[in-house]
Amino acid sequence: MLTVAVSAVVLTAWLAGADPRSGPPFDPLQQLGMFYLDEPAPLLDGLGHTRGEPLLLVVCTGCEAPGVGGRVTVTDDPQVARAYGLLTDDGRAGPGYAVIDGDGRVRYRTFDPNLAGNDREMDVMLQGAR
Amino acid sequence: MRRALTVAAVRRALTVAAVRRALTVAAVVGFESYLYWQYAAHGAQFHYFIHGFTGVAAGVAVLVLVRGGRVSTRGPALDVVLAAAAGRLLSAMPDVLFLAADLPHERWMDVFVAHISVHFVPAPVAATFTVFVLAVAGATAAALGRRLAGLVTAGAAVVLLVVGLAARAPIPRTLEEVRERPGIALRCPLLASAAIPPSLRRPSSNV
Repeated sequence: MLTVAVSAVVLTAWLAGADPRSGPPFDPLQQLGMFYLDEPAPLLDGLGHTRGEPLLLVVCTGCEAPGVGGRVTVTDDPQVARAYGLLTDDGRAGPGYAVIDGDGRVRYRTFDPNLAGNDREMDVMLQGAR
Repeated sequence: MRRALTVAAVRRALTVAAVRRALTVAAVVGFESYLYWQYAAHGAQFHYFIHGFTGVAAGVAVLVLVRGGRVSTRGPALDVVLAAAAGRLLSAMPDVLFLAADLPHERWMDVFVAHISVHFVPAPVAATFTVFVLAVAGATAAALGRRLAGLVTAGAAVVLLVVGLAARAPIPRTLEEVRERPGIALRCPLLASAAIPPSLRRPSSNV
């Protein structure tokens, strides 16, 4: 028990001294990985969506399409970024992505600063929207 | 003579209780290190902390309360460690399912120690850490034979967690809600990143 108590004290000191902007554990990179949205996807006609097939909409500038098993559209269009809540107040599009299900409803949207490293997460969400 | 003393000292150090304590500490440190490594590989340290704090706190607090403040008072308190591990694993289960079974999170996964809702409690890291400290303090008091103090403190941990969950922000259902009400789980991570120039570190009206 003494070990646990000492650990708690050390952790308290560390958390108390951490800079909220310095990164973990305070960085707000906390993608839910959950289909919390459910509404008709905006601007769907120009996104290459095919009825019955989910679409991964990647919003970023100068990035490549992630390696996922399904349809992907990559865009840096500010209008699309704004519609999906992926435009920052300085006008930057993403980086982030949205998942649109086969019925054309947007089910998930998140910023993601490490798009290139999160192919698997994107794939899980895309397959889950089938 | 000197050699005999050394052997005797080693024997004293290697008592069963000491070995158990060392193995317990090694197991906990190894287990948590592995979990942290897994979460960090996905840039999900935030989840490691909030679910870790909540899970351990729930396991320990429930043990203290269910047993009326009676926990092991000798050795490495294995019952407390096992209760903490059980709570820890339970709270991490949706993340395990995500990685191992490609199963996205769903709202029913709140059955795993409020895995979804805890994202939306006010100041989630600070709140869950406070709950964790209270629960550990309660178990420590109980292990020291102070049953009433243990019960009260562990109970306070549970009450604080319940209050935090009751005060949680609603999960948005539409993009308009996302844009209008930047929730803690939906904020743009780059705006708080040290890699972004200070001029850009301001709340976004779009997230």
